Amino acid sequence: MAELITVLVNALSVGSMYALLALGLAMVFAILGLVNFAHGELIAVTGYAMFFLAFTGMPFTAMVIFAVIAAVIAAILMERVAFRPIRNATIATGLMTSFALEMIVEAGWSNFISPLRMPIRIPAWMIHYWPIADSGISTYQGIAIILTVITVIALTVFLKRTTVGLAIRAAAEDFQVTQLMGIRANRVVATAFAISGLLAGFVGFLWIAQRGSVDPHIGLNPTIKAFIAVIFGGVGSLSGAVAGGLLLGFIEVSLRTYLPESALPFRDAIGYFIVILVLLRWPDGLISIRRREY
Amino acid sequence: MLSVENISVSYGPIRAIRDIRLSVSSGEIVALLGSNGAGKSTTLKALMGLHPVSSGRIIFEDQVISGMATDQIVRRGMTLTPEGRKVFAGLTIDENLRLGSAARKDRADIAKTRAEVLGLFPILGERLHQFAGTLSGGEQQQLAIARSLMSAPRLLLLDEPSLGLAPQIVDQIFDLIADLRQGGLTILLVEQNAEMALEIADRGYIYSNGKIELTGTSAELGASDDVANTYLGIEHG
Repeated sequence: MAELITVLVNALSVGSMYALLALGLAMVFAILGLVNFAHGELIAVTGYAMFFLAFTGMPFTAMVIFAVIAAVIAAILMERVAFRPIRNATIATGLMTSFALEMIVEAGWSNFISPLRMPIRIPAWMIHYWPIADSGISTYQGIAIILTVITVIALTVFLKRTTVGLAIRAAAEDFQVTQLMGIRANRVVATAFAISGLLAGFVGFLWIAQRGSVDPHIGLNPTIKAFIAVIFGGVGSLSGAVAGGLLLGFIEVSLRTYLPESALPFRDAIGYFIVILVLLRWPDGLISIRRREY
Repeated sequence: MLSVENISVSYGPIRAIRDIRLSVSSGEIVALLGSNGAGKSTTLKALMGLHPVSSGRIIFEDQVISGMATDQIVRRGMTLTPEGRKVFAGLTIDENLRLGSAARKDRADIAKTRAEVLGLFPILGERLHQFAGTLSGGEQQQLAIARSLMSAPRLLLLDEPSLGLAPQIVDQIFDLIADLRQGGLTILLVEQNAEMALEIADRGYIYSNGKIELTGTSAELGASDDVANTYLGIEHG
Protein backbone atom coordinates (compact mmCIF):
# COMPACT_ATOMS: atom_id res chain seq x y z
CA MET A 1 0.00 0.00 0.00
CA ALA A 2 2.73 2.44 1.02
CA GLU A 3 4.66 1.57 -2.12
CA LEU A 4 1.55 2.08 -4.23
CA ILE A 5 1.01 5.56 -2.76
CA THR A 6 4.64 6.42 -3.44
CA VAL A 7 4.37 5.23 -7.03
CA LEU A 8 1.12 7.16 -7.58
CA VAL A 9 2.49 10.37 -6.08
CA ASN A 10 5.70 10.12 -8.09
CA ALA A 11 3.90 9.15 -11.28
CA LEU A 12 1.43 12.02 -10.94
CA SER A 13 4.07 14.63 -10.19
CA VAL A 14 6.44 13.50 -12.96
CA GLY A 15 3.55 12.93 -15.36
CA SER A 16 2.14 16.38 -14.54
CA MET A 17 5.34 18.04 -15.69
CA TYR A 18 5.40 16.05 -18.93
CA ALA A 19 1.74 16.88 -19.44
CA LEU A 20 2.27 20.64 -19.02
CA LEU A 21 5.23 20.63 -21.40
CA ALA A 22 3.42 18.43 -23.90
CA LEU A 23 0.39 20.70 -23.77
CA GLY A 24 2.50 23.71 -24.83
CA LEU A 25 4.17 21.75 -27.62
CA ALA A 26 0.86 20.33 -28.83
CA MET A 27 -0.84 23.72 -28.88
CA VAL A 28 1.84 25.30 -31.05
CA PHE A 29 2.02 22.24 -33.28
CA ALA A 30 -1.74 22.06 -33.73
CA ILE A 31 -1.95 25.65 -34.92
CA LEU A 32 1.25 26.10 -36.93
CA GLY A 33 2.40 22.57 -37.70
CA LEU A 34 5.61 23.66 -36.01
CA VAL A 35 7.65 21.13 -34.04
CA ASN A 36 9.39 23.42 -31.59
CA PHE A 37 12.62 21.81 -30.43
CA ALA A 38 13.55 25.04 -28.70
CA HIS A 39 10.65 24.59 -26.25
CA GLY A 40 13.01 23.15 -23.62
CA GLU A 41 15.00 26.38 -23.59
CA LEU A 42 12.03 27.98 -21.86
CA ILE A 43 12.82 25.74 -18.89
CA ALA A 44 16.39 27.00 -19.00
CA VAL A 45 15.14 30.61 -19.16
CA THR A 46 13.08 29.98 -16.01
CA GLY A 47 16.08 28.39 -14.31
CA TYR A 48 18.57 31.13 -15.15
CA ALA A 49 16.02 33.79 -14.24
CA MET A 50 15.71 32.13 -10.81
CA PHE A 51 19.49 31.92 -10.54
CA PHE A 52 19.98 35.64 -11.16
CA LEU A 53 16.91 36.79 -9.22
CA ALA A 54 18.26 34.93 -6.18
CA PHE A 55 21.02 37.58 -5.95
CA THR A 56 18.42 40.28 -5.33
CA GLY A 57 17.44 38.54 -2.10
CA MET A 58 13.75 38.64 -2.96
CA PRO A 59 11.46 36.00 -1.43
CA PHE A 60 11.37 32.63 -3.21
CA THR A 61 7.73 32.96 -4.27
CA ALA A 62 8.33 36.35 -5.91
CA MET A 63 11.40 34.92 -7.60
CA VAL A 64 9.34 32.07 -9.06
CA ILE A 65 6.63 34.44 -10.32
CA PHE A 66 9.17 36.66 -12.10
CA ALA A 67 10.97 33.62 -13.53
CA VAL A 68 7.71 32.26 -14.98
CA ILE A 69 6.96 35.70 -16.45
CA ALA A 70 10.44 35.59 -18.02
CA ALA A 71 9.54 32.28 -19.68
CA VAL A 72 6.32 33.77 -21.07
CA ILE A 73 8.20 36.76 -22.49
CA ALA A 74 10.87 34.44 -23.93
CA ALA A 75 8.18 32.34 -25.63
CA ILE A 76 6.56 35.42 -27.18
CA LEU A 77 9.96 36.70 -28.35
CA MET A 78 10.80 33.28 -29.77
CA GLU A 79 7.72 33.40 -31.98
CA ARG A 80 8.25 37.02 -32.95
CA VAL A 81 11.93 36.75 -33.83
CA ALA A 82 12.40 33.19 -35.07
CA PHE A 83 9.08 31.70 -36.15
CA ARG A 84 6.92 34.55 -37.47
CA PRO A 85 9.22 35.25 -40.45
CA ILE A 86 8.91 31.61 -41.54
CA ARG A 87 5.19 31.24 -40.75
CA ASN A 88 4.22 30.06 -44.23
CA ALA A 89 7.35 28.06 -44.99
CA THR A 90 7.52 24.26 -45.09
CA ILE A 91 7.54 21.98 -42.04
CA ALA A 92 11.23 21.24 -42.69
CA THR A 93 12.07 24.95 -42.46
CA GLY A 94 10.27 25.14 -39.13
CA LEU A 95 12.16 22.12 -37.85
CA MET A 96 15.55 23.53 -38.87
CA THR A 97 14.73 26.90 -37.38
CA SER A 98 13.69 25.45 -34.04
CA PHE A 99 16.80 23.23 -33.95
CA ALA A 100 19.00 26.20 -34.73
CA LEU A 101 17.30 28.32 -32.10
CA GLU A 102 17.74 25.56 -29.54
CA MET A 103 21.46 25.27 -30.29
CA ILE A 104 22.06 29.02 -30.32
CA VAL A 105 20.33 29.55 -26.98
CA GLU A 106 22.06 26.56 -25.40
CA ALA A 107 25.45 27.79 -26.64
CA GLY A 108 24.54 31.17 -25.22
CA TRP A 109 24.03 29.75 -21.71
CA SER A 110 27.35 27.87 -21.93
CA ASN A 111 29.40 30.78 -23.23
CA PHE A 112 27.89 33.77 -21.50
CA ILE A 113 26.96 32.22 -18.15
CA SER A 114 28.64 28.90 -17.56
CA PRO A 115 28.69 25.39 -18.98
CA LEU A 116 28.53 24.09 -15.39
CA ARG A 117 25.65 23.46 -13.05
CA MET A 118 24.75 26.62 -11.19
CA PRO A 119 23.21 25.98 -7.78
CA ILE A 120 19.89 27.58 -6.88
CA ARG A 121 18.98 27.56 -3.21
CA ILE A 122 15.58 26.00 -2.71
CA PRO A 123 13.89 26.84 0.61
CA ALA A 124 13.46 23.92 2.99
CA TRP A 125 9.66 24.09 2.90
CA MET A 126 9.70 23.34 -0.83
CA ILE A 127 11.43 20.01 -0.30
CA HIS A 128 9.74 19.23 2.99
CA TYR A 129 8.47 15.65 3.05
CA TRP A 130 4.98 15.12 4.46
CA PRO A 131 4.50 11.55 5.71
CA ILE A 132 1.22 9.84 4.85
CA ALA A 133 0.79 6.38 6.35
CA ASP A 134 4.11 4.65 5.57
CA SER A 135 4.58 6.76 2.49
CA GLY A 136 4.50 10.50 1.86
CA ILE A 137 4.67 13.43 -0.47
CA SER A 138 7.07 16.35 -0.72
CA THR A 139 5.82 19.91 -1.05
CA TYR A 140 7.01 20.38 -4.64
CA GLN A 141 5.32 17.13 -5.70
CA GLY A 142 2.09 18.36 -4.16
CA ILE A 143 2.53 21.71 -5.90
CA ALA A 144 3.20 19.92 -9.21
CA ILE A 145 -0.02 17.94 -8.99
CA ILE A 146 -2.20 20.81 -7.77
CA LEU A 147 -0.70 23.29 -10.24
CA THR A 148 -1.33 20.91 -13.12
CA VAL A 149 -4.93 20.30 -12.12
CA ILE A 150 -5.59 24.04 -11.76
CA THR A 151 -3.79 24.81 -15.02
CA VAL A 152 -5.69 22.21 -17.02
CA ILE A 153 -9.03 23.42 -15.60
CA ALA A 154 -8.17 27.09 -16.19
CA LEU A 155 -6.97 26.34 -19.71
CA THR A 156 -10.13 24.38 -20.49
CA VAL A 157 -12.30 27.29 -19.33
CA PHE A 158 -10.13 29.71 -21.33
CA LEU A 159 -10.38 27.58 -24.48
CA LYS A 160 -14.16 27.25 -24.17
CA ARG A 161 -15.24 30.67 -22.95
CA THR A 162 -13.03 33.32 -24.53
CA THR A 163 -12.96 34.30 -28.18
CA VAL A 164 -9.18 33.87 -28.36
CA GLY A 165 -9.58 30.46 -26.77
CA LEU A 166 -12.21 29.46 -29.32
CA ALA A 167 -9.94 30.80 -32.04
CA ILE A 168 -7.04 28.66 -30.78
CA ARG A 169 -9.21 25.53 -30.89
CA ALA A 170 -10.51 26.50 -34.32
CA ALA A 171 -7.01 27.26 -35.59
CA ALA A 172 -5.92 23.82 -34.41
CA GLU A 173 -8.47 22.43 -36.88
CA ASP A 174 -7.93 24.87 -39.73
CA PHE A 175 -5.88 28.03 -39.45
CA GLN A 176 -6.93 29.51 -42.80
CA VAL A 177 -10.63 29.18 -42.09
CA THR A 178 -10.05 30.70 -38.64
CA GLN A 179 -8.64 33.79 -40.35
CA LEU A 180 -11.79 33.89 -42.49
CA MET A 181 -13.66 34.54 -39.23
CA GLY A 182 -11.92 37.93 -39.12
CA ILE A 183 -9.52 36.75 -36.44
CA ARG A 184 -5.99 38.13 -36.41
CA ALA A 185 -3.60 35.28 -37.10
CA ASN A 186 -0.76 36.93 -35.17
CA ARG A 187 -2.89 37.33 -32.07
CA VAL A 188 -3.85 33.64 -32.02
CA VAL A 189 -0.28 32.49 -32.55
CA ALA A 190 1.19 34.89 -30.00
CA THR A 191 -1.38 33.78 -27.41
CA ALA A 192 -0.60 30.11 -28.06
CA PHE A 193 3.12 30.79 -27.60
CA ALA A 194 2.48 32.81 -24.45
CA ILE A 195 0.48 29.90 -23.01
CA SER A 196 3.17 27.41 -23.98
CA GLY A 197 5.69 29.71 -22.27
CA LEU A 198 3.58 29.90 -19.12
CA LEU A 199 3.28 26.11 -18.94
CA ALA A 200 7.01 25.66 -19.61
CA GLY A 201 7.69 28.24 -16.89
CA PHE A 202 5.67 26.17 -14.40
CA VAL A 203 7.60 23.06 -15.39
CA GLY A 204 10.88 24.96 -15.16
CA PHE A 205 10.09 26.03 -11.62
CA LEU A 206 9.07 22.49 -10.55
CA TRP A 207 12.07 20.89 -12.25
CA ILE A 208 14.48 23.28 -10.60
CA ALA A 209 12.83 22.97 -7.20
CA GLN A 210 13.53 19.27 -7.49
CA ARG A 211 17.13 19.55 -8.73
CA GLY A 212 18.31 22.70 -6.98
CA SER A 213 20.44 23.75 -9.93
CA VAL A 214 20.33 24.92 -13.52
CA ASP A 215 22.62 24.05 -16.43
CA PRO A 216 22.56 24.71 -20.19
CA HIS A 217 21.10 21.28 -20.99
CA ILE A 218 18.38 21.32 -18.36
CA GLY A 219 15.53 21.50 -20.88
CA LEU A 220 16.63 18.65 -23.11
CA ASN A 221 15.48 15.57 -21.24
CA PRO A 222 12.01 16.79 -20.20
CA THR A 223 11.38 18.13 -23.70
CA ILE A 224 12.21 14.79 -25.31
CA LYS A 225 9.81 13.15 -22.88
CA ALA A 226 7.17 15.74 -23.71
CA PHE A 227 7.57 15.06 -27.44
CA ILE A 228 7.01 11.38 -26.78
CA ALA A 229 3.99 12.28 -24.67
CA VAL A 230 2.56 14.35 -27.55
CA ILE A 231 2.94 11.49 -30.04
CA PHE A 232 1.77 8.94 -27.49
CA GLY A 233 -1.32 10.98 -26.71
CA GLY A 234 -2.18 11.77 -30.32
CA VAL A 235 -0.53 14.52 -32.32
CA GLY A 236 -2.58 17.70 -32.44
CA SER A 237 -4.89 16.73 -29.60
CA LEU A 238 -4.62 18.80 -26.42
CA SER A 239 -6.36 16.32 -24.15
CA GLY A 240 -4.16 13.65 -25.75
CA ALA A 241 -1.06 15.60 -24.72
CA VAL A 242 -2.21 15.64 -21.10
CA ALA A 243 -3.15 11.94 -21.17
CA GLY A 244 0.13 11.05 -22.89
CA GLY A 245 2.19 13.00 -20.35
CA LEU A 246 0.48 11.45 -17.34
CA LEU A 247 0.69 7.96 -18.76
CA LEU A 248 4.35 8.35 -19.69
CA GLY A 249 5.05 9.50 -16.13
CA PHE A 250 3.19 6.51 -14.80
CA ILE A 251 5.06 4.03 -17.02
CA GLU A 252 8.41 5.58 -16.14
CA VAL A 253 7.85 5.62 -12.39
CA SER A 254 6.37 2.11 -12.24
CA LEU A 255 9.30 0.70 -14.17
CA ARG A 256 11.74 2.51 -11.89
CA THR A 257 9.99 1.02 -8.85
CA TYR A 258 9.09 -2.49 -9.92
CA LEU A 259 11.84 -3.51 -12.33
CA PRO A 260 14.48 -5.82 -10.82
CA GLU A 261 17.80 -4.12 -10.08
CA SER A 262 19.54 -5.77 -13.04
CA ALA A 263 16.97 -4.46 -15.51
CA LEU A 264 16.96 -0.88 -14.22
CA PRO A 265 19.51 0.45 -16.72
CA PHE A 266 17.04 -0.54 -19.46
CA ARG A 267 14.04 1.19 -17.93
CA ASP A 268 13.85 3.96 -20.57
CA ALA A 269 14.23 1.39 -23.35
CA ILE A 270 11.46 -0.74 -21.84
CA GLY A 271 9.26 2.32 -21.33
CA TYR A 272 9.64 3.38 -24.97
CA PHE A 273 9.03 -0.19 -26.05
CA ILE A 274 5.63 -0.01 -24.34
CA VAL A 275 4.97 3.29 -26.12
CA ILE A 276 5.89 1.67 -29.46
CA LEU A 277 3.53 -1.25 -28.75
CA VAL A 278 0.68 1.18 -28.05
CA LEU A 279 1.45 3.13 -31.22
CA LEU A 280 1.54 -0.08 -33.27
CA ARG A 281 -1.97 -0.80 -32.08
CA TRP A 282 -3.22 2.82 -32.27
CA PRO A 283 -0.94 4.63 -34.73
CA ASP A 284 -2.74 7.94 -34.19
CA GLY A 285 -2.03 7.87 -30.46
CA LEU A 286 -4.36 7.53 -27.51
CA ILE A 287 -6.71 10.35 -28.47
CA SER A 288 -6.75 10.73 -32.21
CA ILE A 289 -8.01 13.84 -33.92
CA ARG A 290 -9.17 11.53 -36.69
CA ARG A 291 -11.35 9.65 -34.19
CA ARG A 292 -12.50 13.12 -33.12
CA GLU A 293 -12.88 13.94 -29.47
CA TYR A 294 -16.50 14.99 -29.43
CA MET B 1 -18.68 46.84 -55.48
CA LEU B 2 -15.79 44.53 -56.32
CA SER B 3 -13.35 45.09 -59.10
CA VAL B 4 -10.53 42.69 -59.83
CA GLU B 5 -7.86 44.16 -62.09
CA ASN B 6 -5.57 41.67 -63.83
CA ILE B 7 -4.52 39.63 -60.81
CA SER B 8 -2.15 36.67 -61.06
CA VAL B 9 -1.31 34.09 -58.40
CA SER B 10 1.59 31.66 -58.51
CA TYR B 11 2.32 28.53 -56.52
CA GLY B 12 6.09 28.43 -56.70
CA PRO B 13 6.99 28.41 -60.39
CA ILE B 14 3.44 27.55 -61.47
CA ARG B 15 1.02 30.30 -62.42
CA ALA B 16 -2.33 29.21 -60.97
CA ILE B 17 -4.29 32.15 -62.36
CA ARG B 18 -3.17 34.88 -64.75
CA ASP B 19 -4.57 38.30 -65.54
CA ILE B 20 -7.97 37.70 -64.03
CA ARG B 21 -10.31 40.65 -64.63
CA LEU B 22 -13.77 40.58 -63.21
CA SER B 23 -16.28 42.75 -61.45
CA VAL B 24 -19.29 42.32 -59.22
CA SER B 25 -21.92 45.02 -58.78
CA SER B 26 -24.00 45.52 -55.68
CA GLY B 27 -26.98 43.15 -55.51
CA GLU B 28 -25.71 40.75 -58.17
CA ILE B 29 -25.08 37.02 -58.12
CA VAL B 30 -22.03 36.34 -60.28
CA ALA B 31 -20.89 32.79 -61.03
CA LEU B 32 -17.37 31.59 -61.77
CA LEU B 33 -17.58 28.41 -63.83
CA GLY B 34 -15.20 26.00 -65.47
CA SER B 35 -13.48 22.69 -65.00
CA ASN B 36 -11.69 21.49 -61.89
CA GLY B 37 -8.33 23.13 -61.31
CA ALA B 38 -9.07 26.03 -63.65
CA GLY B 39 -8.31 28.55 -60.90
CA LYS B 40 -11.75 29.50 -59.59
CA SER B 41 -11.08 28.64 -55.95
CA THR B 42 -7.63 30.22 -56.19
CA THR B 43 -9.31 33.43 -57.29
CA LEU B 44 -11.60 33.43 -54.24
CA LYS B 45 -8.70 32.73 -51.88
CA ALA B 46 -6.69 35.51 -53.48
CA LEU B 47 -9.63 37.89 -53.00
CA MET B 48 -9.62 37.03 -49.29
CA GLY B 49 -5.87 37.53 -48.95
CA LEU B 50 -5.24 33.83 -48.35
CA HIS B 51 -2.95 33.69 -51.40
CA PRO B 52 -0.68 36.61 -52.20
CA VAL B 53 -1.28 38.10 -55.65
CA SER B 54 1.88 38.54 -57.69
CA SER B 55 0.43 41.31 -59.82
CA GLY B 56 -2.75 43.30 -60.29
CA ARG B 57 -5.11 44.98 -57.83
CA ILE B 58 -8.30 44.08 -56.02
CA ILE B 59 -10.66 46.93 -55.21
CA PHE B 60 -13.56 46.46 -52.80
CA GLU B 61 -15.92 49.38 -52.24
CA ASP B 62 -13.38 51.89 -53.56
CA GLN B 63 -10.52 50.61 -51.43
CA VAL B 64 -7.55 48.58 -52.59
CA ILE B 65 -7.63 45.39 -50.54
CA SER B 66 -4.95 43.35 -52.32
CA GLY B 67 -2.09 42.89 -49.87
CA MET B 68 -4.34 43.26 -46.83
CA ALA B 69 -4.50 40.55 -44.16
CA THR B 70 -7.52 38.23 -44.31
CA ASP B 71 -9.00 39.51 -41.05
CA GLN B 72 -8.86 43.10 -42.36
CA ILE B 73 -10.79 42.10 -45.46
CA VAL B 74 -13.43 40.33 -43.37
CA ARG B 75 -13.78 43.45 -41.20
CA ARG B 76 -14.40 45.47 -44.37
CA GLY B 77 -17.46 43.38 -45.23
CA MET B 78 -16.36 40.58 -47.53
CA THR B 79 -16.05 36.95 -46.51
CA LEU B 80 -15.72 33.46 -47.96
CA THR B 81 -17.58 30.24 -47.21
CA PRO B 82 -14.83 27.81 -48.16
CA GLU B 83 -15.03 24.73 -50.33
CA GLY B 84 -15.82 21.58 -48.39
CA ARG B 85 -17.71 23.59 -45.74
CA LYS B 86 -14.84 23.49 -43.25
CA VAL B 87 -16.97 23.88 -40.15
CA PHE B 88 -14.94 23.50 -36.96
CA ALA B 89 -15.98 19.91 -36.24
CA GLY B 90 -14.69 19.79 -32.66
CA LEU B 91 -16.50 23.00 -31.73
CA THR B 92 -20.20 23.27 -31.03
CA ILE B 93 -22.57 24.99 -33.42
CA ASP B 94 -22.85 27.84 -30.96
CA GLU B 95 -19.06 28.18 -30.83
CA ASN B 96 -18.84 28.12 -34.63
CA LEU B 97 -21.37 30.95 -34.82
CA ARG B 98 -19.61 32.93 -32.09
CA LEU B 99 -16.36 32.73 -34.04
CA GLY B 100 -18.22 33.96 -37.10
CA SER B 101 -18.86 37.27 -35.36
CA ALA B 102 -15.46 37.41 -33.65
CA ALA B 103 -14.36 40.47 -35.59
CA ARG B 104 -17.38 42.53 -34.55
CA LYS B 105 -17.69 44.57 -31.37
CA ASP B 106 -21.27 45.78 -30.95
CA ARG B 107 -23.04 43.11 -28.91
CA ALA B 108 -26.52 44.31 -29.77
CA ASP B 109 -25.68 44.18 -33.49
CA ILE B 110 -24.26 40.68 -33.14
CA ALA B 111 -27.36 39.49 -31.27
CA LYS B 112 -29.53 40.92 -34.06
CA THR B 113 -27.54 39.11 -36.78
CA ARG B 114 -27.65 35.93 -34.74
CA ALA B 115 -31.43 36.07 -34.45
CA GLU B 116 -31.71 36.63 -38.20
CA VAL B 117 -29.32 33.78 -38.98
CA LEU B 118 -31.07 31.37 -36.64
CA GLY B 119 -34.37 32.40 -38.25
CA LEU B 120 -32.90 31.46 -41.62
CA PHE B 121 -31.51 28.14 -40.33
CA PRO B 122 -33.87 26.89 -37.59
CA ILE B 123 -32.11 23.51 -37.49
CA LEU B 124 -28.97 25.18 -36.11
CA GLY B 125 -30.91 26.83 -33.30
CA GLU B 126 -32.19 23.44 -32.20
CA ARG B 127 -28.68 22.01 -31.99
CA LEU B 128 -26.62 24.87 -30.62
CA HIS B 129 -24.67 22.70 -28.19
CA GLN B 130 -23.96 19.79 -30.50
CA PHE B 131 -20.55 19.42 -32.05
CA ALA B 132 -20.54 20.63 -35.64
CA GLY B 133 -18.92 17.37 -36.72
CA THR B 134 -22.11 15.49 -35.83
CA LEU B 135 -24.16 17.39 -38.43
CA SER B 136 -24.98 15.95 -41.85
CA GLY B 137 -23.31 17.38 -44.95
CA GLY B 138 -26.23 19.62 -45.81
CA GLU B 139 -26.50 20.89 -42.24
CA GLN B 140 -22.76 21.57 -42.19
CA GLN B 141 -23.15 23.63 -45.36
CA GLN B 142 -25.92 25.58 -43.68
CA LEU B 143 -23.70 26.14 -40.66
CA ALA B 144 -20.79 27.23 -42.86
CA ILE B 145 -22.98 29.82 -44.58
CA ALA B 146 -24.56 30.87 -41.27
CA ARG B 147 -21.09 31.33 -39.78
CA SER B 148 -20.09 33.54 -42.70
CA LEU B 149 -23.27 35.61 -42.31
CA MET B 150 -22.39 36.24 -38.64
CA SER B 151 -19.69 38.64 -39.82
CA ALA B 152 -22.46 40.69 -41.49
CA PRO B 153 -20.83 40.71 -44.93
CA ARG B 154 -22.03 42.83 -47.85
CA LEU B 155 -20.27 40.57 -50.33
CA LEU B 156 -20.27 36.80 -49.78
CA LEU B 157 -17.96 34.49 -51.70
CA LEU B 158 -19.28 30.94 -51.90
CA ASP B 159 -16.93 28.16 -52.98
CA GLU B 160 -18.71 25.05 -54.30
CA PRO B 161 -21.68 25.14 -51.94
CA SER B 162 -23.25 22.08 -53.63
CA LEU B 163 -20.16 19.86 -53.41
CA GLY B 164 -20.93 16.37 -52.14
CA LEU B 165 -24.55 17.08 -51.26
CA ALA B 166 -27.66 15.12 -52.27
CA PRO B 167 -29.65 16.75 -55.12
CA GLN B 168 -32.55 17.64 -52.84
CA ILE B 169 -30.22 19.40 -50.41
CA VAL B 170 -28.50 21.18 -53.30
CA ASP B 171 -31.89 22.62 -54.30
CA GLN B 172 -32.38 23.92 -50.76
CA ILE B 173 -28.94 25.55 -50.74
CA PHE B 174 -29.57 27.26 -54.08
CA ASP B 175 -32.97 28.50 -52.88
CA LEU B 176 -31.19 29.89 -49.87
CA ILE B 177 -28.60 31.68 -52.03
CA ALA B 178 -31.42 33.28 -54.02
CA ASP B 179 -33.12 34.32 -50.76
CA LEU B 180 -29.92 35.87 -49.45
CA ARG B 181 -29.67 37.99 -52.57
CA GLN B 182 -33.30 39.03 -52.09
CA GLY B 183 -32.21 40.17 -48.63
CA GLY B 184 -29.65 42.50 -50.18
CA LEU B 185 -26.49 40.40 -50.11
CA THR B 186 -24.16 40.41 -53.11
CA ILE B 187 -22.78 36.98 -54.01
CA LEU B 188 -19.80 35.68 -55.97
CA LEU B 189 -20.32 31.98 -56.51
CA VAL B 190 -17.92 29.25 -57.62
CA GLU B 191 -19.78 26.16 -58.80
CA GLN B 192 -19.17 22.86 -60.56
CA ASN B 193 -22.88 22.52 -61.15
CA ALA B 194 -22.97 25.05 -63.99
CA GLU B 195 -26.61 24.54 -64.94
CA MET B 196 -27.88 25.35 -61.48
CA ALA B 197 -25.44 28.19 -61.01
CA LEU B 198 -26.59 29.86 -64.24
CA GLU B 199 -30.18 29.54 -63.10
CA ILE B 200 -29.66 31.82 -60.13
CA ALA B 201 -26.74 33.95 -61.34
CA ASP B 202 -27.08 37.19 -63.29
CA ARG B 203 -23.74 36.86 -65.01
CA GLY B 204 -20.91 34.38 -65.28
CA TYR B 205 -17.23 34.07 -66.08
CA ILE B 206 -15.88 30.89 -67.59
CA TYR B 207 -12.41 29.79 -66.56
CA SER B 208 -10.03 27.58 -68.42
CA ASN B 209 -6.42 26.87 -67.44
CA GLY B 210 -6.13 29.77 -65.04
CA LYS B 211 -7.61 32.35 -67.40
CA ILE B 212 -11.05 33.74 -68.06
CA GLU B 213 -12.09 32.52 -71.49
CA LEU B 214 -15.58 33.91 -71.74
CA THR B 215 -17.99 36.14 -69.95
CA GLY B 216 -21.62 37.03 -70.41
CA THR B 217 -25.05 37.05 -68.87
CA SER B 218 -26.37 33.74 -67.61
CA ALA B 219 -28.83 33.64 -70.50
CA GLU B 220 -26.05 34.09 -73.07
CA LEU B 221 -23.76 31.54 -71.48
CA GLY B 222 -26.53 29.03 -70.90
CA ALA B 223 -27.81 29.27 -74.47
CA SER B 224 -24.52 28.74 -76.21
CA ASP B 225 -23.94 25.13 -77.23
CA ASP B 226 -20.30 25.87 -77.65
CA VAL B 227 -19.97 27.02 -74.07
CA ALA B 228 -21.98 24.11 -72.79
CA ASN B 229 -19.94 21.48 -74.55
CA THR B 230 -16.49 22.93 -74.28
CA TYR B 231 -16.40 24.31 -70.80
CA LEU B 232 -19.27 23.18 -68.69
CA GLY B 233 -19.98 19.59 -69.63
CA ILE B 234 -23.67 20.29 -70.04
CA GLU B 235 -25.45 18.14 -72.64
CA HIS B 236 -27.96 20.16 -74.57
CA GLY B 237 -30.73 17.83 -75.63
